[in-house]
Amino acid sequence: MRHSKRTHCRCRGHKRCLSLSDAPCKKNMRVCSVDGNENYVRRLFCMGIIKGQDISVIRKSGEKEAVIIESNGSKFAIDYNLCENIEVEEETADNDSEK
Amino acid sequence: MKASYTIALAGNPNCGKTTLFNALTGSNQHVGNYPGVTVEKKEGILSINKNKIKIIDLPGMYDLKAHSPEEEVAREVLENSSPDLIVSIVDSSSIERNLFLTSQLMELGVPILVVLNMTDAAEKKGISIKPENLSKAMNVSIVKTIGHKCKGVDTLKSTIFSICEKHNKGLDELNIAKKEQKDISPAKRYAIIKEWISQSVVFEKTEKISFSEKLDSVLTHSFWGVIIFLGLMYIVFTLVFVFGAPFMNWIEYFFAWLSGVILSVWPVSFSPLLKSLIIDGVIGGVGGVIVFLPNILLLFLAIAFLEGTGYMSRVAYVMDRFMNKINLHGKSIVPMLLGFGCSVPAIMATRTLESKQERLTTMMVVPLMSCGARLTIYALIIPAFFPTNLQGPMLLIMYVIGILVAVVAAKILRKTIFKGDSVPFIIELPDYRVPTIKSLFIEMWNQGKEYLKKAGTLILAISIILWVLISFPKIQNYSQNYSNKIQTIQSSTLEQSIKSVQIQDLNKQKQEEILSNTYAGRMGKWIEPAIKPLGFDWKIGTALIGALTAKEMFVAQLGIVNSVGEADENSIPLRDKLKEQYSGLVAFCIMLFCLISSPCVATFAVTKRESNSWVFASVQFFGLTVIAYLITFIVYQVGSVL
Repeated sequence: MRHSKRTHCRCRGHKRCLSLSDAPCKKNMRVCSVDGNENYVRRLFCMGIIKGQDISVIRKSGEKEAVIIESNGSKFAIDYNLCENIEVEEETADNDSEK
Repeated sequence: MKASYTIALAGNPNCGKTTLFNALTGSNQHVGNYPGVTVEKKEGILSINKNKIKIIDLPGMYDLKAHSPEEEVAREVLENSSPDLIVSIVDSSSIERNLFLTSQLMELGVPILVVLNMTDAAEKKGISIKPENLSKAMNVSIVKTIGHKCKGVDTLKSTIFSICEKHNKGLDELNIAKKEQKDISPAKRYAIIKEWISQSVVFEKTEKISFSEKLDSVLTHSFWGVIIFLGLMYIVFTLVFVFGAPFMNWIEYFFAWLSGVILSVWPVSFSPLLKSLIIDGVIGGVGGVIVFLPNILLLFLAIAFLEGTGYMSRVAYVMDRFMNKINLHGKSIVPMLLGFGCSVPAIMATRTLESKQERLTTMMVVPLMSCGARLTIYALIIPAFFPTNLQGPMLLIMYVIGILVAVVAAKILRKTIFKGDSVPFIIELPDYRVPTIKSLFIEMWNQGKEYLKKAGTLILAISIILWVLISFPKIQNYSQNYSNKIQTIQSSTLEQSIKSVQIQDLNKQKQEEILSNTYAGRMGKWIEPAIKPLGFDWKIGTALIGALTAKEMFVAQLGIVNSVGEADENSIPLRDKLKEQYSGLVAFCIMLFCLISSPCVATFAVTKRESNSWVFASVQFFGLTVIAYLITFIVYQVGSVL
């Protein structure tokens, strides 16, 4: 289940969007889109990882390894491949108003 | 008396369902601080106003659409067993996410009661909830609780009863579901939840770094996390041994004293057979197993502590990359760690794994995690053959060998029989909590009680059977006249020290002849050629047969074999007898074989049930024995040459 790196997100063509696996640690981000296998997308939704949700990466262990994220007050360890399918953007005053 | 109503406790994993279940029913079900502690439904009775209400505690789930076997159990009960009331338990510190499942439960057409649990944890995170407003918005009854402090439990009990009564009388409009709302997209569902909480929940942003975050910065570190995990394991095993030793000795002395008292008061001419049954069969067998109760209690105390703190999820994360290397899921480490306690719950804990192949592989290798019953074998052998400073490391080596064999076996299984893609790793990391002393001791006592129950039933019964096998038939004609020979030596002019050595030697030969003539002796002699290349004699062979029922039986059987016909006021402890008979290499080989070989019958049965296959259970049973034989053979043969 490997994916090639994308340079722009699928949600609205934003250049500023990046996959969660590339997001910097301890920075407040916001979920733009979640895609990939239907079952896992649903599981992520049920865990509260959904478009518009605040999210931040707490720890990255190493290359292509599970990532610890915090979303909605809960911490999860998530597979690297799933993180690649979660598009996020940095939280700014601009997109705060969109929320 | 039949229960008037049935209610189901449902909610996300680790939201405190079992803690509330225990508080409502007075049960002592196992609780822990990680997702997936409960993997099967548990039932209990709540008595209120002379009414009995059946309460079903369900495994945690994020979604009504089940992903793993334990979620399937919960979904099955909710959708097919039509409870009178669903109590949706919500972790208030993650209210938005938890209400996702609640919103689905509200569509099942069953009255619902929402419990806002862990409100203390929510307040710490700056989340304040107005239950009245939320109740109005959701159009359901809401109760606030703090499960582990039993706060709000009385209100919860009375609310459950009043809703059940109202429902029974057809007055339950407030809590009845709207069936037409099924198939709402998750986004729409979250929009509804946002609307519910907009007027009832206030989130204050806290900049303070929590204790959990500080601890996580070390415990989930890619390097230090692993070192700390290994260090903790080492400390646990060493402490189990070091702290357990004095208690073990006391119990050992107690049984020796008890045997002495029985011998001294027993009339000489009165039923020597009954005396042998009590002293050799019951005290030698059951007493030999009870001696290790302190180690077992300490081991389960340590496991309960690790489970209660929230560390298990971190271990799953830290070990995920290593587990990936053997094509297993990070979550597989949790059943494996539980396997250090007992393989039966550990195999059941594999239900949290979504992939069938990963689940079966984990199930197959869990018995290689050295369980508490095997600890009794190490606790017997290690102090007898290894100096004090090497006892802790030796114990750790045994556990490490089990893990290494499991790693290799898992890798091979995933490449051959259980091929298939890995399921992506997702696990919730709960906040750390200090487990209450009460919960730790309840858990320890529950496990201790099970151990004593096993000693008083299964082990007692098998000890008696083994005593019969080792006591009958009685020998009629000896190969030589021992009494005459002993008399000749006594009347000779030899030095006293030489005399006693020769007499001792003759007594040993006589004893050996008596034992080898018995049913167990014949059986042992029959299998001896097969186990001789491993350095084992027929006595170890019979003990290994006994260990098929329960691993503790190995110790019990050795106790019986070595005490029959020998018990007197000067009996020496079993460990000293073993030291006289076997070398250090043989002792190590015994531990190695017991570690890797077939698990007990209970593990076989639970593997059959969980895998739904006699074939897999048999492969596990016989496959592990073959691996154990090969490895022990190599170690003994190489060790003998060196």
